[in-house]
Amino acid sequence: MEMNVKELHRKAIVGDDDAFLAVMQLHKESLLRTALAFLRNENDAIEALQEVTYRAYKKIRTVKEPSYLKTWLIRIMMNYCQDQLNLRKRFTVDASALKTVSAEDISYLEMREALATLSDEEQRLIYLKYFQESKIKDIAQSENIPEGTVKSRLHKTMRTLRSYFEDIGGSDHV
Amino acid sequence: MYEKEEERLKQLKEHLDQQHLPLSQADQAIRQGMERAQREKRESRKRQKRIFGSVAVVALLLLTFITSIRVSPVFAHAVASIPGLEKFVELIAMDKGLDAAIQNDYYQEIGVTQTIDDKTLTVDGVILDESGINIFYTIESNHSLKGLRVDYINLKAEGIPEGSFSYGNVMDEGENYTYKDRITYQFSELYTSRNQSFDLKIAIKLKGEETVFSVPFTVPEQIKPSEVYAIDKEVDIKGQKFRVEKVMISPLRVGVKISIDPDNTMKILQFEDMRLEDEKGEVWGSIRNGTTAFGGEDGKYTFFLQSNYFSQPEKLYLRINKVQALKVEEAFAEVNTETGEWLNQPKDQKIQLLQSNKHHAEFIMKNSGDEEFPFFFIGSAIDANGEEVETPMTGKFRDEEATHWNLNFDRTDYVNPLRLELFAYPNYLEGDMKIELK
Repeated sequence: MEMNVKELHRKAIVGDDDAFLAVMQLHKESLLRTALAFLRNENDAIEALQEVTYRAYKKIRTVKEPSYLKTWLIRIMMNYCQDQLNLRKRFTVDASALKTVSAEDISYLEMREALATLSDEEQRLIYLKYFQESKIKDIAQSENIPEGTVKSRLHKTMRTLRSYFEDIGGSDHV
Repeated sequence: MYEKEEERLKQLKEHLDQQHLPLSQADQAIRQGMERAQREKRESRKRQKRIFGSVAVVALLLLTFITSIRVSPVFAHAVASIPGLEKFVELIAMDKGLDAAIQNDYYQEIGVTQTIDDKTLTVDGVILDESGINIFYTIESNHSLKGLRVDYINLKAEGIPEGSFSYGNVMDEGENYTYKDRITYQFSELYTSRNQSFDLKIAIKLKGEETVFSVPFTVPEQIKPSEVYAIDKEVDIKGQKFRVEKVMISPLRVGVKISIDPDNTMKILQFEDMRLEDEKGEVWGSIRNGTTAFGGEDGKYTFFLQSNYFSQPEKLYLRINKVQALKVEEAFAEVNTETGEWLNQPKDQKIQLLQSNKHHAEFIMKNSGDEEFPFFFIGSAIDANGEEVETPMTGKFRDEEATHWNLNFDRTDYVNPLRLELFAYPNYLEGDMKIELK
């Protein structure tokens, strides 16, 4: 099975349209999950998926290693979402997101707030490591930094998260 | 070490994993995204084919000629005697072949109209041959057409070869109730089908509103076949070789098929003075208002000359006395638009990079004598990752001291240096090629 996915990735990279479609189908759940985690709105997530498909199709030939294709797609999705969020920050207060959030459990909300204080790059690292459960090796490839650097940045990011929770007064009702 | 934080992240992940996913809409989104990318890819491919070299040059020349048009009284009189054509007189000057086609009654009236809201489009007439079609049309309205712009044009017919379009007219300032234009569609190979039914789409924009006319029409009379001369002769100018394969004489234009020897040490850029000459020394030169050449892939080109189809010379020669050429290793320019450096350029450095940034570059060449170098010299731009950067807006102007070229890039996320293909350059090889056609 693993071999088949790799073969499919390889074909998509060399420009096989059917393979590209199959790859997008294969990873659409992960991509949608990523979009929802960042944008928290189904309509926006669908729009993001369309845009990411478009961008991926145009650039897929630049992927060097078939086994990194999925991480590469997720990376495009995260970049797109973060750009969207930055735009929103600048221009609007996003009421729809607030509504969704209010229904969430307070501990998720706190964690989300904590994550929001991180830099874009730190958010991507956390997302890949803990939500996509990607391997350090794949993250290193996707972010184009050495594995050692991924580890030390994750470490530093976790420290930032910890101090965030300590600062808001030890509300650690885990 | 950060167990507590990791535990909280894990909970959030589990929560997110349980979220409903809009899977039913996902497939459609993927399809739409893919279609959009495919469409762009197709269009840019088409565009690449169309915009080979001189086609871009032509668009610039067009403006020059429209502002300095001179119509000979004899010709104006001939045109005026053809019903419906008199209003187009200023759109057809400057081409001997076209003049002759009209004077020999080769123009065919069509008279098909379509009215959408307050606008009426009329296809007045056409000149059709195996090399292309000229379509004369008018748009009229009882409201002002000031600011009207032709957005796109599409011509369909069974088996019609891909080609290059030129169209668009400059209207006077002020209120106008009539817009007239000539579309030139030039086929990339001879269209020998006997199907003379066409489907023409013209989309115009006026005050932000789009109107799409769709007019099917049939050209009534059989078209005249082209005369094809198979030459197949190798020519050498200062050691650079090319082969003249054939010459195709059609009423609207003459196509000269040439293949350039891939082993040449110099890249031949333009055949500036290629021309037909008859026994009395009358000359038919290159097309001055339309597409001047096709090709480029695999070293094969078709160059176009004004047509002598309707003249009956006893002798006919194809002549070339000078070609533009550069050493192969100098035939591209490499520039860093951020630092303004030339990393590669022709050794004579006649053309300089005046200023540049990621959006824009300006090149300059000092004038020498009165001779104007009328070409736009840059073809495509390729960035350091091998991706094409399009240059949708280009311009050229000449002042007392120098000729300036402006290049605008359609995006700024490319990686320097840019490699610019040169397709014209003021460096000449001289010789004397004279091939007898008859």
